[in-house]
Amino acid sequence: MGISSTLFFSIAKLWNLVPAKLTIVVVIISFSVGKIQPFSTFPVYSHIPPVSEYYYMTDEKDLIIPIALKFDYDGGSLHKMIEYRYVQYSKTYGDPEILNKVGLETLDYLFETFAITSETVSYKQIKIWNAKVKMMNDQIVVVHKEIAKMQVL
Amino acid sequence: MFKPDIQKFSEKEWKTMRILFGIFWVHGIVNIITNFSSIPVPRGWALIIDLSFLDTIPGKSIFILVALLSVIFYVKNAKMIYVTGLMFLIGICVHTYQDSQATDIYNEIINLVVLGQFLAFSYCRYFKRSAGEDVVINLVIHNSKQAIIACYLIAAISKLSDAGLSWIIDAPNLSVAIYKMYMHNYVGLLSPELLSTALAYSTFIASHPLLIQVLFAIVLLAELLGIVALVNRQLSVVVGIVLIALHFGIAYFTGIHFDHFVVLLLIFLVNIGYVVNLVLIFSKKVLSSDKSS
Repeated sequence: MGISSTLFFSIAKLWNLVPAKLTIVVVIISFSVGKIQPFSTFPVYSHIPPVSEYYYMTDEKDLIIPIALKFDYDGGSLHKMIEYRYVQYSKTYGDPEILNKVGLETLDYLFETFAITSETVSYKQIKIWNAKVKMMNDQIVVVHKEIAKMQVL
Repeated sequence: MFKPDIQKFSEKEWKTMRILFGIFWVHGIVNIITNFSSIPVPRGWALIIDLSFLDTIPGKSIFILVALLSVIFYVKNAKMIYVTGLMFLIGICVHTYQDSQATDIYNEIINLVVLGQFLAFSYCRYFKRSAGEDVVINLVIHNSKQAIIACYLIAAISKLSDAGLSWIIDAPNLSVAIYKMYMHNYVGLLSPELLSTALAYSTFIASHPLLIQVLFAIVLLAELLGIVALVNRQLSVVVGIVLIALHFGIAYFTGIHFDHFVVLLLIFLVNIGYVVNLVLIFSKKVLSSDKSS
């Protein structure tokens, strides 16, 4: 018997001793490939920073547009869309220029998907805002910043 | 020593699991297909494969029809290699489609369970031809449990690699994350209740840091030690109940829900169908003994 076949049988014997093989294989592949179905690293709140943020939309008077009621869309999806589009340009989060670009792209998508025109909505302008949230002395503090705006034609 | 054994299950238990999982799976698939009609942020396989056929009525109809047919065969326990293989492919496409809606549902666990079952059927078919039906059933359920446990283990390792033990120390930061989560809903609906709930949860978390840290420590420990569920049936039920209790605890204190994880734990770890069956048999016996006395 050659060295290679001996080695193969030794590895096979060792592998037979490994408990929960499928679990181990899934763990190894998941950390190797990242998020691609059916694998994921399940980073559910795996890092909880002291500052968090969300996005929302307003009209030209800076009044919040209830996007779920008006466009059947929600704040979570708006946030994820901006976040995923952002990482296509940069891995360092927070660049105002990229945020503006991504905000405009998102508005483009929303205008097209929900057929937003002066005939379908009463707004003259739609803006996307970023809100940064932090805790100070057990009180929530929120800082708002406009990232992009688009005229309704 | 940690020694996971493949536990023995009856055909009745497997049938109950098939029915419950089949309904859960097809309900999710149909729900996703009917709820969305575009691919705003392609992710995962959607970057490689064009999934736009799921935007079309014929594409949606074909997928729903095939998913329903697959589940009928699945519940009937017929052609399982092909059926679980097909369910896996449908799941990959449809859940990638869902991921591409800019959502993070962590639905991978469902496809991993189906993959585990497919691998078990294939292994028995091609490598253990002499295996009886009971051996196949036991391996299929064992693989389903392994897939679920793997997800919890991965989540624990992610926490430890991303934040280390400071994940527990930083737990009170959850107050801002929870506030954000509620604000996502608030900016959609402008419902004042959502704003007050957001403030109530975040203030509660910020003012009870120790409680949240203890809860987080238990979560991490349960995720890491969940693998003992593979040792025997009793531990499987115990781990299942502990993890479900944690999910409910987290939902109660923070408002974060992972309902599909709870359903899968109930079906495969707690074996809820079997437990309900036992309770029914027991109550029937009690009733009949009452009548005879």
